[in-house]
Amino acid sequence: MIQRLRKKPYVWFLLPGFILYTIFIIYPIFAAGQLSLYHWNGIGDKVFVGFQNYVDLFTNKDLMSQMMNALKNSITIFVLTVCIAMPVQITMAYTIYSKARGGNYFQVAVFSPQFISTPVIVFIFTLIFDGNIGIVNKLLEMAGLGAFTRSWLGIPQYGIYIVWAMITWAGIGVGMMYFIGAMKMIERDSLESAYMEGAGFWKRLWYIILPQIKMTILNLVLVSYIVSMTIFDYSYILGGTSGGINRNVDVMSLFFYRMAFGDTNPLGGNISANSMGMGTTVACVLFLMIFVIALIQLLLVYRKED
Amino acid sequence: MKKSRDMMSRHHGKSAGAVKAFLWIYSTATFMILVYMLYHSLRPRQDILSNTFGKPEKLSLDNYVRLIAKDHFFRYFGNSVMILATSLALLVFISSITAYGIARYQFKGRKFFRIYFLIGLMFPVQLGIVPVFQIMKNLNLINNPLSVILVSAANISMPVFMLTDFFAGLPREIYEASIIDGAGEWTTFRKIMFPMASPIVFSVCITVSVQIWNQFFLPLIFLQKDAAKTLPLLVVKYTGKLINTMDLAMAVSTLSTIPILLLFIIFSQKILDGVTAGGVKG
Amino acid sequence: MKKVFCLVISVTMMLAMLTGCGAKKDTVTLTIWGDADNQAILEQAFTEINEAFEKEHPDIKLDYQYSGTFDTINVAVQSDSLPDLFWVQGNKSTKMAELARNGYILNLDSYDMDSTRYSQAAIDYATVDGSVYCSYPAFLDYATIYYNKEIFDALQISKPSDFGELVAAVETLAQNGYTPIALGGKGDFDRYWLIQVMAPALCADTMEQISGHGDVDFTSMEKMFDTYREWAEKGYMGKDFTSIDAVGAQLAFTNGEAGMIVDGTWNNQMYRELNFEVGSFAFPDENGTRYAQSGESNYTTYAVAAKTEHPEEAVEYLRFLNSQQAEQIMENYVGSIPSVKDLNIRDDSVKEHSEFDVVGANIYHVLSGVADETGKPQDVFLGEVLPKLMMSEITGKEAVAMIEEEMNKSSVR
Repeated sequence: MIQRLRKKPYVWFLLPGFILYTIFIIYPIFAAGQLSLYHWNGIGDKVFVGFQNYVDLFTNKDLMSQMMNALKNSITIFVLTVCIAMPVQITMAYTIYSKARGGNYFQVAVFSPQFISTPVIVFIFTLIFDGNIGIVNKLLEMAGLGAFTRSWLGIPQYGIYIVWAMITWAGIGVGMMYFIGAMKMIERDSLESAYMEGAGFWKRLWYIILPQIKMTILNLVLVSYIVSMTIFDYSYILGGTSGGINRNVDVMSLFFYRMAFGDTNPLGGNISANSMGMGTTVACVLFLMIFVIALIQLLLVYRKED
Repeated sequence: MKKSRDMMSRHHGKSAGAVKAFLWIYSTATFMILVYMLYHSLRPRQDILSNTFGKPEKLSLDNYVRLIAKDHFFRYFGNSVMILATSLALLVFISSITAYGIARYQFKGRKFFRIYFLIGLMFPVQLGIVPVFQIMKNLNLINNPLSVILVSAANISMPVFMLTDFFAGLPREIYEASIIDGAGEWTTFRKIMFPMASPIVFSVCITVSVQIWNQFFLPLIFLQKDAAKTLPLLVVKYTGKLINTMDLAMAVSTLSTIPILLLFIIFSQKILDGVTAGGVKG
Repeated sequence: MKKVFCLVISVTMMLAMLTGCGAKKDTVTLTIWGDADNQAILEQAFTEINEAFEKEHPDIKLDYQYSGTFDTINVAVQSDSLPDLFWVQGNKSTKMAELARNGYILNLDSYDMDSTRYSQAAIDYATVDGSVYCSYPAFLDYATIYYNKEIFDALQISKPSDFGELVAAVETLAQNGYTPIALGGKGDFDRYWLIQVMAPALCADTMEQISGHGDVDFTSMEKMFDTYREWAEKGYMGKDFTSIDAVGAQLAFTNGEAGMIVDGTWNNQMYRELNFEVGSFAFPDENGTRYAQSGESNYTTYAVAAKTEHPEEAVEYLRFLNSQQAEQIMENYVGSIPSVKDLNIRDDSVKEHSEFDVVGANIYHVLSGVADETGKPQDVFLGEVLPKLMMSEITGKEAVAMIEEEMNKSSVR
């Protein structure tokens, strides 16, 4: 046995992670996933209902319209992240990587919002952008532009863009760190020879760097997709459980939260008779939406490999 | 090395200058927001409330004194540091060997493992917590930091996903040369392959440590005694009903941000200088 | 490999160290989960209450932790690991009833809790299907109107004693460039509070009919909705109030930009600390009757887990929470409005809060009282009716129709 395993060294490399991950991450997911086949409020008796919850979710007009709206918002966040935030992240990473003066300062400052808890970030933004007491509006007033004062954080028609802007401000450093790491892995020789041949700052980025960090970009696109489907706290704090006026900041995982835990509020509220059942059903649908996309991307990207 | 640095920092052109100017402005704006938080943390609550935008009557360290003397800030801080250090070490170790195992060796089911290790990102933790709680209860680990450490260290989806490609991209010749030299698989990994990936491992370390440092849900569920609780639980005590305790919320956020920010500054210096610079095909 | 080995050893040792301690004693230790969300507010009071209890009961030790959140209690219920005692919300939500009916919490009937000091509402709060399941609430919470005395004095407005005077005050404030009533329109509960204070004064009859499960005449509710919409349109809640959250509204008031604000009596403490004088009044109707809204405070309401090993001792703690001594300590620190008669009210601001004539119905509870799985008028009301009124997308008539339609879906009526 040991002899045979010796010929398969990867087993030893995979085993510790596999065991720990399977026990603490995968097993709970499957244990929870099967709750979607039950009618249950989390406290009383569980009643097995088969796929009835799924049928209910997809045939109930109100639930479907809520889900489609949340999905639309989540996809908006994803698209904005990939089209706007990611090029910015790459440019920032490249500038820092190129040893621009102040690179270390950029890196720390850009990444620093990560360390602050979301409610405090939202509160600070209130202090800055609020209609009555925000700095931005005070500055506008001083500049004689009083007519432009707004309560910037809450303009209903821009709700989801504001959520995206805050997510991006707080999280832009993460992708940037990965890009910096990826660039550090690039062989310096090719860059130097490109430089000798007279390739400028942008040319080097375009022709040397980007092709070599292609994998990182593709991976982070997938990660951004997963994050936009699972991000929760900004929408929750800015719009409450209901997802804001006309659900303008609703996202997929807030929809899930509303189904599973949403009925607890400052006034008590009623727990739905099927909160856990429907909650896990939504979570499973969400899971499938992510899983299928991840599978497609991985199969496409790695097709050539084997 | 010196030559290459000089090369890298010259001849950036005008548009690159614009990018740099943008970075200066953006970083400074972000930094000012942090300073603004610090500034509010030095004001008494009444002053923030009734005089939000005006000139403060006085600035004082009262909020900090209260956090440290009355709220046992350093106990929470110590718990957080202990959990961060242990989980980070475990997590980085486990995720690098896992990623290396998938990337380096050809075997059936590699694709399966790639997606398998990604699943952890796709499902809300809140739902899966009860079975984990049962396990911890049976292991008698409730109120023990080890419960949080184990679950945090098991959460290897993101690092494995990000690291696999880099290990796959490391030159095969070096690996083979090392094996021919008689080094075992493990020694080859530890002495040769792992150090080559260290820039990206550093990036992983930093993003993951932020996650562990900020995690709220796991400690909330597993650490039910004040003596074992971590910083985010103290932060939420003051952010929960923010209007009543905004001064302390600002102070506790500042206090919990600064140490890890300092740590990050030290680390990022290392990344910038590069522990092993280049020499590797992407 | 050696390093890995060292790591394993040190982790094991740490584990042994952490689990090794905890010697046995003769005294009984009760684990109690307090309200984590309100820890900052309740901490001092409970420290003193618990000290007083331990002094009186030297054989009982308390392990009081602020670990009671919705999440932790859910997990504890589902994994059968509830602490001996934990805070509950009584009849404010259906949760305690569910816990009681499924045998998770102790039926207190055989323990003979003394209810003589409490109002009927307080007793109802603690009762499920005729049996008592938690300590009785001794305090009230309701949404009220705070006003800036300096602004009122400067504009020579007196504290409104009926609805007409209130409307006049609102108009005067608006004419003088102040936001009359600061309100956050962004969150679902932020925008709700004004309606909660208006409802008992302006549409008590409709609410009574809804609760009575009979025919409902929506005329007065429609009128109230129209008033709400009108005030929003006239900018009485502030410029762009739909995009301001509760904190923004509170800061507008505390910075002296608004004459009044709707907020809970639970935030009394904060308003007392401002650098200008703040008064408060319960919302008056046209005849000058002032209304609070029903809502017992859950600060002192705890339930005992059915599986506790020390039911006697745990109930002893509930009895202590229901003693005048413990309630007075709570009053001294928190300054809530007592619903029992024998407490000394802490200060004038609390006294002002207890100046109401009638405890009216709580509109959210009235609507959720006729909800079931298919018809949830309270959700439609909060999530659709109020925002649409606020944005002038519907009239009072349409609003009422939406609520009625949702109520007809429910089988409760």
